[in-house]
Amino acid sequence: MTDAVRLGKAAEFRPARAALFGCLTILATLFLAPTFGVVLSAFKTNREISLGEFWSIPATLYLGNFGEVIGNPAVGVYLLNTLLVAVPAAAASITLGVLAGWVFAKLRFRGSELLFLGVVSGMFFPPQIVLIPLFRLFGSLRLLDTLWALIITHTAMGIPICTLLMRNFFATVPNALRECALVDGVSEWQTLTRIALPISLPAIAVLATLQFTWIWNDFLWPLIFTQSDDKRTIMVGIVFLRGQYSVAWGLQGALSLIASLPTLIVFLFFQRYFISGMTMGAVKG
Amino acid sequence: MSVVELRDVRKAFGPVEVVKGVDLEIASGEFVVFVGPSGCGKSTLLRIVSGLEEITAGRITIDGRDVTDLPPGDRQVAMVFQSYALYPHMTAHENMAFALRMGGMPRGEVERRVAEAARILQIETLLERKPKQLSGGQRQRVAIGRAIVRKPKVFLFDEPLSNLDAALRAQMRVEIARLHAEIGATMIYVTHDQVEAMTLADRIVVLNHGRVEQIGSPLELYETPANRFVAGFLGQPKMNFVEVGRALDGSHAVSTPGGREIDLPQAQFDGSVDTLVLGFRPDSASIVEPAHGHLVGRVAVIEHLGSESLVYVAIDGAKDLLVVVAPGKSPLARGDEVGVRLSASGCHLFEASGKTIPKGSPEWRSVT
Repeated sequence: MTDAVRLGKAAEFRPARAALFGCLTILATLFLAPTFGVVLSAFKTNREISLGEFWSIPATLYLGNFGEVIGNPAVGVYLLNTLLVAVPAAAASITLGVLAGWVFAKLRFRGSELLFLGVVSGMFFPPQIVLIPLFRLFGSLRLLDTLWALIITHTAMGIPICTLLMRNFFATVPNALRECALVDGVSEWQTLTRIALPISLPAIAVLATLQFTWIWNDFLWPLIFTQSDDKRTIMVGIVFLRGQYSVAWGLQGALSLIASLPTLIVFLFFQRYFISGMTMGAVKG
Repeated sequence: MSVVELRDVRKAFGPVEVVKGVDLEIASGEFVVFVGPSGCGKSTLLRIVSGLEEITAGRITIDGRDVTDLPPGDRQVAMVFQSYALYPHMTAHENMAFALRMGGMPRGEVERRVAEAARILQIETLLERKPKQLSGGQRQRVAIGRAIVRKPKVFLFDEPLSNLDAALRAQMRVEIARLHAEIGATMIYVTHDQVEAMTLADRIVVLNHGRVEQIGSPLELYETPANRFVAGFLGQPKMNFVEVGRALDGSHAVSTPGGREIDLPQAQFDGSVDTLVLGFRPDSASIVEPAHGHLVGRVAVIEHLGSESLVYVAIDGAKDLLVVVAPGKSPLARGDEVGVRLSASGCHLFEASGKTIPKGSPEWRSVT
């Protein structure tokens, strides 16, 4: 097929393509509308919102909501709690995923495929299934209403996806690299930490972003496992940030925007590692 | 003294035995090449020596020490991989120093060794580059350097040149030969390229289907192959094979597919040998008038290489085309009827099973 023919085809109207494009546009709009609504309400006064002007452009750029949220000492506690859960839980699940992924990719043993499937199948259980058993378990361990319950749960829930991603990434690391290190007398641990991990930074960056965002944005576990105000995480905090008789749309909008900043920062930080081709030059090519 | 000894080494992957009992002794400073077609077990055998593959049966000793059950890192061997296997995030210098540093060697000694290896391999100016900034040949040198710095008892090369283009391969071949001469280390080299095997080896080990077919110096194997497989594997272009029959009058002659006879003086066949395969190398035969040839056929293809031409002749009654080396300015054309004349001294005889009928044997005494 010549280029001219191919170009001619591309310029044709294709109904299936147009329909797909239309569907995606509608989905994107539905998906973005709430975010847009939150941004709008964050810059409005309560009076404006009460008048039913929810979707209108703010009359003035009102920053009072942000001032009030930042001035609220509870918000600082929420943010700190979330950080104290998200960072260790993300780090622990990624560490365990790296170790398990290396074993499943490079140190296969009899039954390792089956075990791998067992670990990964953990992803397919909805959290609601384990909610009550976990609640009772943490209750008997006296860990309810502590951040430990959240850290442990998020670490465990993160292991399947971390193992799956790291195993699949390590599978692309040439075996010859490990074998060369082994022949040279380098230990398995050194091979993993000094060779495999540095060339796996893109995968780890993706995982870190995913895990951090997922844990940061989680609502279910902190809602169930914590009760006191000083143990709440930010997502639960947003909900409880309301007047006694009214919903504080403006305040919640502002806090939602502030709460999404850390995940944005994490993404921007790891974005530079989101590059492929780190293994280029290792083997022929 | 032998540095590497293999005793009845066997390796099976599940029910499939890929190395079927190999015995081998390699002397100190020797350059041994494992050669054979794909899947013959040569790479597996090398990996067995390195320790990357465990064996199913047998013993391996390196420098007098039984290493059969030792992990690769304790065997004092260094390996150069086909894919180079350079650590992509490290510079050439770091690649070479890595294993030494991990082993706790003092920094000064590491630097001294890296500098020495870089000098030997002439890569001093490339040390700060990462693998992706190096060409194929340069990467291979760094990979060899990484082996040199460890001062191993044995160097193992797993098809190290097969990813390079033809010109670079020829150059690196010379450099590896030079390296062996300079450091005098024991080297085991795996290749499927018989030119590399012939040019580099002190001794060649020809493998086929997991078995050693023959071990010997390149010329020994070239001139007195133990069987048809070795005869056909070594030499470029390959040896020609023609099925021949014994002359009916019981003389020393064999009859060719065209019905002509080649007299092999003093050849004596015992009664059990019936079907024979005659082998001759392309450069030991010549193109003659049809009337004077031992074999007669038509020219199928001519390859002009400049200094010489390869003439492919289709013989009636023979499956494969025969190759004969002719002078560079050969006037022959496709379709010409030609004769192929053999010299008795250039002929090899094989039994139907492939086994060579030795020239000095009762079956064939001194054909000269």
